[in-house]
Amino acid sequence: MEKRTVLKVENLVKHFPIKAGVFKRTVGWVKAVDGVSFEVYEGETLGLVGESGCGKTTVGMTLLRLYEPTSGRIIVEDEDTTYYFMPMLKAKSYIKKTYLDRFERLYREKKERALEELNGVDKKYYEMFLNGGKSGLYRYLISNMQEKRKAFRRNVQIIFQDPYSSLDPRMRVKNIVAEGIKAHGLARGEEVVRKVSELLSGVGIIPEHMYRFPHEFSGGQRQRIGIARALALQPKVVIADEAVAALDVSIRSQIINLMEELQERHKLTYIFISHDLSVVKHVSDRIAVMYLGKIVELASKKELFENPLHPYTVALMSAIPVPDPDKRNKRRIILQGDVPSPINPPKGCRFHTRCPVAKEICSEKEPQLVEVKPGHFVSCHFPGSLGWKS
Amino acid sequence: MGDREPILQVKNLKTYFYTEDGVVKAVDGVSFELYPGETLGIVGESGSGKSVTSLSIMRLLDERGRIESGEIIFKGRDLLKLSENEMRKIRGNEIAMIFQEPMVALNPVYTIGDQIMEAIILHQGVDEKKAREMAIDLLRKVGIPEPEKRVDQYPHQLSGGMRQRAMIAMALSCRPSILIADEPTTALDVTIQAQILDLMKELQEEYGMALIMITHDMGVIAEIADRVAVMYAGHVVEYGEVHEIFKKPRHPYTYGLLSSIPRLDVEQEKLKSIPGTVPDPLNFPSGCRFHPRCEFAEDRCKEEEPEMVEVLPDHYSRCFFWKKLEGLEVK
Ligand SMILES: Nc1ncnc2c1ncn2[C@@H]1O[C@H](COP(=O)(O)OP(=O)(O)O)[C@@H](O)[C@H]1O
Ligand SMILES: Nc1ncnc2c1ncn2[C@@H]1O[C@H](COP(=O)(O)OP(=O)(O)O)[C@@H](O)[C@H]1O
Ligand code: SF4
Ligand SMILES: [Mg+2]
Ligand SMILES: [Mg+2]
Repeated sequence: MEKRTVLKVENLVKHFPIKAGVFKRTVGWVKAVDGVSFEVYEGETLGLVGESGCGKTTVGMTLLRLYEPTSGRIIVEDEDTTYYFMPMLKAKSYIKKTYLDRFERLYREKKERALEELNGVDKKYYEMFLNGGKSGLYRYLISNMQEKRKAFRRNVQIIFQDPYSSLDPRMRVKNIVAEGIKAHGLARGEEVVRKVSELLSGVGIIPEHMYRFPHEFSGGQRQRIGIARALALQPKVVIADEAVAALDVSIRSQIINLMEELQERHKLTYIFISHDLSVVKHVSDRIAVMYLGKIVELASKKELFENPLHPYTVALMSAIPVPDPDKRNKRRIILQGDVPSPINPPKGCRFHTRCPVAKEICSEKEPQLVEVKPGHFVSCHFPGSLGWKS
Repeated sequence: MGDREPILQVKNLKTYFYTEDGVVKAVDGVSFELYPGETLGIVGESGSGKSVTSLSIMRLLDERGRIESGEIIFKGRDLLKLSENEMRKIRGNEIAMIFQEPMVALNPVYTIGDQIMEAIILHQGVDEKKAREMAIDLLRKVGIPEPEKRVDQYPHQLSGGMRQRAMIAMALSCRPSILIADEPTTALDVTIQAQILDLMKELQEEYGMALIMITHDMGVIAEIADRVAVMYAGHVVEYGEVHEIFKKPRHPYTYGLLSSIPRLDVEQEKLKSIPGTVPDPLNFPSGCRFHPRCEFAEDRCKEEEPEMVEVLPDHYSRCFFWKKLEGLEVK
């Protein structure tokens, strides 16, 4: 079956300013996410794994535009959504730079032939440019911003880590779950109650409990409520950011199983963010490993575990204690030192300061994320040179 | 195991908290032994009573907590009968403890060196110059780079992993015979956790200490423990040698826990899960405290509380129907 891309991130960058002094001058930047690209296919789970501070949450928050991207493109289905939440002037200049001016140049050089080298949204928008001219494309992109934003909010939802702080303690569960339904005018009156009941029973919460407050539920139940809220608008993509990290082991597996059931039932696409490689391995179809604001390796789960190529991926796998005392004496790769700061990431390969197989070039030249096998991407000058068997 | 003398014996320990809402029976009849040089793992979900057990051993409970009954025999003496003065000599000197969050144990306004030196001077009676040398040696030993420089830094100047190392250095400064580590790696990233576990194993061997490792992570237990106590709702529900616990669990809770972990080393289709939630400590279920969540429960479990029984040599379970678990595979 042909895989359909529902979400595509191109070269996403998010830098946070560091302010200092009375005038709050910007004295530097936290390069939290520094050029991240990936695609998510319909119905799959893409795992995003890496240690704390590597930029996972920032990727999620920037995708949702709870943070404004520093640069990069965020494409949902066949529309560029990057400018949806920008202030008007900025949105206009983005459209001009990314499409109008660029297409004009392309047309001058290659006329219709330029279509052959374009794909995805670029191709779609270039066709519109050919048919309707600059103003036609511009009008298409800039009109109905309100609806565009609404549609985006409906399509992409998030589940947070902390089921304690992510639900408003003063609101009854019914209103928490119904908030989006009402805001988007998806139901009214009795219909809302019916929908909330359906959603709650779908996540294993007794519908009669909808008039209770969040503190009357346990951590696992609150996470179920968070999931019901995320599903209320029938999203296409759900970003789960450490959604099971705060839960006890026996409850964690309940929630993982629930998320898998719901994915099947509602044909959901997940971006599953976690620091825990064992959990990510269990739920994901494909996995992206992050280190210091970059993806260092991306492959299908099977490929990644059978043939890990980046030394960091290998070290991460070997560091996880396996719940089997017979496997205790397996050779471990112990990385030296701590993760460097994202304010001044190491030159060259960002991992070179801790990498057991680094050579001179690693501290000089930054490796690119390249496809070494169909669907298997790695960014390392010496992929596969750190061996390890579990 | 039978021919050796335990260095620590906890017998039927009960620690309750008297709160506005009622009595929390946080630890309710816990027993175990610790042998010289060995590692006992205490594992269980949050609220099961792991931390309260260790704080009871150290007698560091807050004013609401009371040790109701039991004995804690350390080198032949019952710690619960010691005066606060005598207890202070045991704490830090004979039994040391490290925590999940080193910032709680480290004083933010003193340098790392000052804090380690204070402990050394207090317990070993050496002069300041000698203590400083010893502190630097210790920092080197726990893998802190440039210890001559770090010794004069404050806790907040160190990374999480480094702070944990500094706390270990402080705990080891008096060469305790028992180290209690309460979730020492829970707040750390896995690559740093691997460093710290490695370090702890090394130091344990060198110092010959006994170690109580408290964690909610079955992986960490499998990695480091010789014997394991599995806790649930204030009880030890299963107790035995580490291979026995992992390969032949004889309590439904242990079995459920082991089957619900996503694993890196084996393929799993669907995860098993334990239904329901962890019970309210103010209102534990009647009979076996696990019965509402137990797939093997029968009527008897609702009414009668099971005792610890020896199900295999040196392997104990608090379950009437442990035989139902014979031959079950953890997958
Ligand atoms: N709002 C913010 N302002 C400044 N720095 C931030 C902000 N959010 C995250 N960071 C920094 O960006 C980096 C990546 O953080 P985050 O995305 O939260 O990582 P992860 O989710 O992988 O743990 C960290 O160094 C973090 O301190
Ligand atoms: N200072 C305290 N006051 C009241 N209750 C407490 C106190 N400390 C712990 N408890 C309760 O005792 C039980 C056991 O707690 P604890 O030993 O910290 O669990 P664990 O370490 O296994 O997560 C919990 O129900 C907890 O709420
Ligand atoms: S005693 Fe009964 S309820 Fe308790 S664990 Fe055993 S079978 Fe389950
Ligand atoms: Mg995060
Ligand atoms: Mg605890």
